[in-house]
Amino acid sequence: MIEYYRRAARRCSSVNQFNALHIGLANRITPLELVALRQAQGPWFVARTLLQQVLRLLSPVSRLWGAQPPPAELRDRWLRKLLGLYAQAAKPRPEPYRRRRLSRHLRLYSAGGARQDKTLLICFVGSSQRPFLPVPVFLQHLDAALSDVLMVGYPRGNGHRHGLPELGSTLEETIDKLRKLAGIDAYRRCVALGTSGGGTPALLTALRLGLPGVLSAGGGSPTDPRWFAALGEDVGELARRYAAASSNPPRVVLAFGVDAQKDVIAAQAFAECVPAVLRPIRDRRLESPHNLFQTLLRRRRLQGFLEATVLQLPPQAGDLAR
Amino acid sequence: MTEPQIRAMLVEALEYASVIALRDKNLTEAFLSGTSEVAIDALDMDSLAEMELCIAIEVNAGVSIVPERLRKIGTLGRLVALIQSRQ
Repeated sequence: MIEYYRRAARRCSSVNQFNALHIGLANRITPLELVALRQAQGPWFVARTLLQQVLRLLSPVSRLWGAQPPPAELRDRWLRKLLGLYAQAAKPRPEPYRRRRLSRHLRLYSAGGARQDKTLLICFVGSSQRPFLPVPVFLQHLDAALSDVLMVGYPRGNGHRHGLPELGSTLEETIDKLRKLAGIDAYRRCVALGTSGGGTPALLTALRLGLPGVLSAGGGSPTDPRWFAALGEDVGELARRYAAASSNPPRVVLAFGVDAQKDVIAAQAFAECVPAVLRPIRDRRLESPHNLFQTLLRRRRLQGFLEATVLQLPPQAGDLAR
Repeated sequence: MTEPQIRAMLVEALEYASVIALRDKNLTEAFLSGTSEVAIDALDMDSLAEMELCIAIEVNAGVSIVPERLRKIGTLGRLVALIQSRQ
């Protein structure tokens, strides 16, 4: 990873190219890789970044229109911000997830161990291609000994509405193939999570595969016209049909930031299509926006929230029938 | 790139960055035809969306604009003019 970063950074010549590199990495790397990148910066990393901040404030040149910071400063700034978010988990060691690419848009994060003792979290990301937070930050808020994470991305511009091209031409085909590809039946339990545009496909996946639980965080509306164009019917109607056909429907949690008005309306509308628990997320001091994981992270409640809503379900309801 | 091409590129980049404001068809069409102005602040972009927009501009138009500068430009129309002048 460190060598990859060095090679990639050498090819970057503008702030935007560095940003593209950093966004791509933040959407993929594990907590272990983040810590390794930090360690590769040497013992003076903190002092150096502080000095950079002070110099930036003092130097009139750096405030000039368009002045470009040097690559080392761009790297340090990105790492410092990422490490600051990562530290919110307040854990002494990085969660030991390893990354494995299953297909172009599927990545499995696992620390190994017996799958029959673990929960698989199928995580549908939104347009930022991450579960609201940088991937190492999100993973650090889980327990690698108890859960594996299957991160489901999608081709840019298409959303999840047409499924993954490597698995099928429709979302339904993709969902059906996910069961085998991810080895869902080998796990003690499998649940789904979707953030933003990933909320609706997470809900459909849980309903179609008969998973015990699903959390949609800041998910879309059941009458989103883009879904109608892809499916030929309202996605809320499809969810209703899936729920009606399921003998054991999942526990559906629809979470939303109370200040994200569109998300509030979308969650309320979806709750009229399928039985669901609404979980408003608020912050007494600051706004609670679309990115509700950011709010929970700030309040140091993210891990507890994920466990309470989707990861730790009652065993009778949660265990996969084998 | 011509002005209409730059406008179309910006709409596509904002769609990729999931900027909800431009899902309003009327607003998008008015911006594409150059008859309506859109304030960048009104797009409600987070820092990631700003970075992605700047990356798209650099990749597609070869013009480097840093995210910190984006909001100072003020409107999408002025952004179009800036890209045109720098090509």
